[in-house]
Amino acid sequence: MITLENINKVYRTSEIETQALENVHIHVNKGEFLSIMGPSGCGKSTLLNIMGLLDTPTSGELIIDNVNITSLGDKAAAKFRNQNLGFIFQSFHLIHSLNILDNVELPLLYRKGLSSKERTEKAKAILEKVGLSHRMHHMPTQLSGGQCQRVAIARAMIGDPKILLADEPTGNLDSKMGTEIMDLLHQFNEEDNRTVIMVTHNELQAKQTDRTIRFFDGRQIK
Amino acid sequence: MWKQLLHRIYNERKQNTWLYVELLIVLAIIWVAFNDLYKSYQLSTLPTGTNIENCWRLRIGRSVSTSIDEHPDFSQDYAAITQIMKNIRQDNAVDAIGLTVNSMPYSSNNSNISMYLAKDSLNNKKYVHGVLIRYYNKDVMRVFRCKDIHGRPLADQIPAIEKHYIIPTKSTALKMAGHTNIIDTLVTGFDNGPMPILQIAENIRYSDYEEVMDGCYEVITEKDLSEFIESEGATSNSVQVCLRMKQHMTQQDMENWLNKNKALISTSPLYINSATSFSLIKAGLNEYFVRQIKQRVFLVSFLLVCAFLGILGTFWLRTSQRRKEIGLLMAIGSSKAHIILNFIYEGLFILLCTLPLIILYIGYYITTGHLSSHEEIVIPTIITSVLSIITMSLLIIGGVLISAWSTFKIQAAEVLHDE
Amino acid sequence: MTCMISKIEKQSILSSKTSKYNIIFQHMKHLFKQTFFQLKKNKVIFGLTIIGSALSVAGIMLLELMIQIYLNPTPPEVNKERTLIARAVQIRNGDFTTNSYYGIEGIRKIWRPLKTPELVGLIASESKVFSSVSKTSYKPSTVAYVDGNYFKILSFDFVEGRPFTENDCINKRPIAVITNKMAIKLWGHAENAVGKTILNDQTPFKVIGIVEPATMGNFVSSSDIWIPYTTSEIVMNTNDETQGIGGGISVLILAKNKADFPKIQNEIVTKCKEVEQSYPFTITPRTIDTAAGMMYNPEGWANHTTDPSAFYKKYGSLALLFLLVPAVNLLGLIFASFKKREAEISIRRAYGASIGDIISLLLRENLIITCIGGVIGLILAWLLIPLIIDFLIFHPDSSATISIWSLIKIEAIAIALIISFLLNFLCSSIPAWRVSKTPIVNSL
Repeated sequence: MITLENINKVYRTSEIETQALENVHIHVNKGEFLSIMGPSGCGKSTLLNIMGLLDTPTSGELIIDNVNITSLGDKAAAKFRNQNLGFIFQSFHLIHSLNILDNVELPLLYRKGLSSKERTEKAKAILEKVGLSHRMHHMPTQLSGGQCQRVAIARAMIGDPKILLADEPTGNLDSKMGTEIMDLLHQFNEEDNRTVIMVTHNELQAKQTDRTIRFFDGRQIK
Repeated sequence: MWKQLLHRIYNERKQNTWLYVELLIVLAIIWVAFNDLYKSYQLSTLPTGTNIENCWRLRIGRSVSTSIDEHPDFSQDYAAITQIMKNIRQDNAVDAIGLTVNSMPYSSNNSNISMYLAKDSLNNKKYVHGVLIRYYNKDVMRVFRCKDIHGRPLADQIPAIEKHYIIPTKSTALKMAGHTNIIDTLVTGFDNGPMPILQIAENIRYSDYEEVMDGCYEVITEKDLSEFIESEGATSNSVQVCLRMKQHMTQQDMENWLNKNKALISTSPLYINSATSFSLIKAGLNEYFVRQIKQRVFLVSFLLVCAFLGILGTFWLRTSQRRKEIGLLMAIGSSKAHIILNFIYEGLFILLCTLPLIILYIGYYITTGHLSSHEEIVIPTIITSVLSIITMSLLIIGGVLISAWSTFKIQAAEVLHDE
Repeated sequence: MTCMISKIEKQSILSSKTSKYNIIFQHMKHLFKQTFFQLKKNKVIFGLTIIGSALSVAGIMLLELMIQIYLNPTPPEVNKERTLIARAVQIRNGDFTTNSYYGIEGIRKIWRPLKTPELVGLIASESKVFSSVSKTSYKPSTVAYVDGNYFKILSFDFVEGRPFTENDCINKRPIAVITNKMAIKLWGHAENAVGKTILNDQTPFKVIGIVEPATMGNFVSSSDIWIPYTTSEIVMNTNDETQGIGGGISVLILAKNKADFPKIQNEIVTKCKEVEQSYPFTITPRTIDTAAGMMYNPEGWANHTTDPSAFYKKYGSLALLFLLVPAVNLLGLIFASFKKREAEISIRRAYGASIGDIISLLLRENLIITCIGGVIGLILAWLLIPLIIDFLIFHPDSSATISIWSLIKIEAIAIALIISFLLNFLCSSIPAWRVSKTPIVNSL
């Protein structure tokens, strides 16, 4: 479903040139739970960003669902992200001045054809799914780390995306909460055959996924 | 989307207090400035009660040399000036010509008197003070096309028999009697005793930038003029010969005309030695007011520039503090344009929140009588309010756009990543 | 041997002193460099603060200029600081009230006999047409009817010839002093104009002096032609209802020094009371203006009562405005960046910075900001003021230019910079003050 062909990413400043990714070839199948591992600075987050259309490769092609993404313009890429991708970050990135319900509804704001009522309904449903519907009018500052991440997952899932990209989702959580989050991710992966790509440091979590890719210095290693 | 915006603004109200205060103050200042400007503009377009188109002020010189020790002989002056005016009147290029003493329009003379209706008893009299008085005869009224309140020329209504009449303006009449049906009533307050009212004239103003003044014309006789000229001389600066040409003339045209008609314009011992356009005289009087306006415009511009800097800075900070959020929104699938638009809506909405207080302030301003005393208050207020809001909106949009321009150079990936 | 040693000792003491100063200097340089780089990081915020300072300074400069144009003694009004101008007297009896300038009798009876002033001169102006024998003019010029003392109080730059004296006035000599511009208007050139004849209503007057025209900010010296007042019928007229006490003449009073001003005020009031005994009306002297008063009321409207403190109120409040408005904007910026700054200061304190260090940091930042802002403000003022000065102030002859920069006093610039610095410093101390009140951990 996702194919990265000959991806290179070079960061150029006026003084230094850093090769973050070098000749990366990856193919991800539909419904696969893929984990990417490697030490800090090896380029795994860069890879995730490229897959998530948040960054453009210096050279190479990204094809998702037979669509050549690298050739899409800003607006088209935004639309694609909105309809097909969901993101989960290590530090949640919830908007502090909106309550939980509003935070979860965010992705739907950019989808045309939904009324306000429909959006709220969907948000309530997804919060139910992650077990936080009793907190939907609270502010993010009133929730614990684990709860925040669950809200973030709800936000990522509300648009019914085909692909979920998670960047060290349990990095800021303790082991108990981390397990809860992983359970949720597995749930989403199995229920609707969604593709999940996760960057992680945790060997244990990686073992529970379908496949693990290791990276070192921008290159894939076996 | 609006719901989210409203929620956010409500939730952030404490943090944004200073922004609200700043916007409120700036909006208030802008509104007062626009109101001031509009008022001046309105005032300057109101009729002044005198038509000075194609009008010139002529000065009189003495064509006979006198030694310093000799006291000049003024006895011939009145006859001479009358003859000169008669000659000039007959020229094809001339519309009208007349002589007044110290009363030409836009002179810096603002002598005024107090008057009241003679029939009012001592206890009942409605004294009108500060009435601007102009001593005109028929000729001068023809030059300046003075009109009565029905729009008819006053010059035609002055009887041939020389007598002193009073022609108060509409505002004076209303103050004295409450209505304008006071023709033939006697008015007191003059050195020469009570005088009858001949007609009511349209309102006059002293300068283009001041309100309507209570005024009146005193119709003077030949005897008045000749007496003055005999004692002061026709070359006195108080003697003002007012000329209306049929066509528009430039200064050079006028000098050419004077040169061409040397015979017309001189009768011993006098001659016409200069012509100054009334539009120049008017500009001289208005200069003070125009300068005041210019100074105020400068001050307000300074304030606006500072305000803009403040608003720019504030919005810049808000945008840069939200970098992570911007990255997130881009990840979620919002386009850059959409995000900028959202920020603009947010800024404008915050502006909207300050409006109730501004409306209260405007109301206070109106009721304490700061606005002009014209009948119309509603339309000017609406115009100035709309203009002020548009200006503020532009300031805010400018602030957001400039801050967005550089913040958006970043990639979403950079801001979202914690490393 | 001992001398040599003491020499070496002296040298080493000297060199250690200089090296000590050197070390301090290097240290300060290092600190400022650090601060400078930090400012560069937050370019926008500090940029805006700098612009705010610059605007303040430019505004103050403009104000200072506008004031100095009028207050500064520039030729010919070199004695501005000890000159008063009396332009208004009120004469009333039961029948009439007149507010006017002084008449010739007023000058003779009230002003000339005064004891306190050093000199009393007079000036009356009007517009009149003056021609040369060869060229008929149709445009009026400004003529000033003055006495000999006028030329003593003011110091005109005579290109050619001389002024007239009191003696000339007594003898009613038909002579005139004109500006070189007027000479050009009459004869096409200003050379050898002394001795030529101009026509005052066909009466020939001989030119005895040519002067440079007055510049901006000079009112009583702004004219095209000067003529002895005794030659003017209008000025000498005593035939009106005030019997010559009121008229069209302004009185120029040269005091021995500024301290005499109140004495002169008192003397004139007493004198008027004395003189009015022999007249059927009361005489009340109204405003006697200093240069500041002239500035406030340049058109010389006679019924304008000038309260000297009003001048300071108006310009003082303007100066305050120019200083405060950018500072208030700065406050807005400070409040908006509160959290960030507080966090930064907390981190510094967590790493061992004392309050003294924080204050020193703020001082350095604001010093740099004020300096840069001041320089930009000065440049801005230098560029813009010549363009807008015409726009803003009143001067009768707009073609007369002035060297603007000679007017600005260093003290004003220094005060503006200092106040701007203080305001900025106070504003930026607010986050530091708040941090000092709460435990560090809360602000992180």
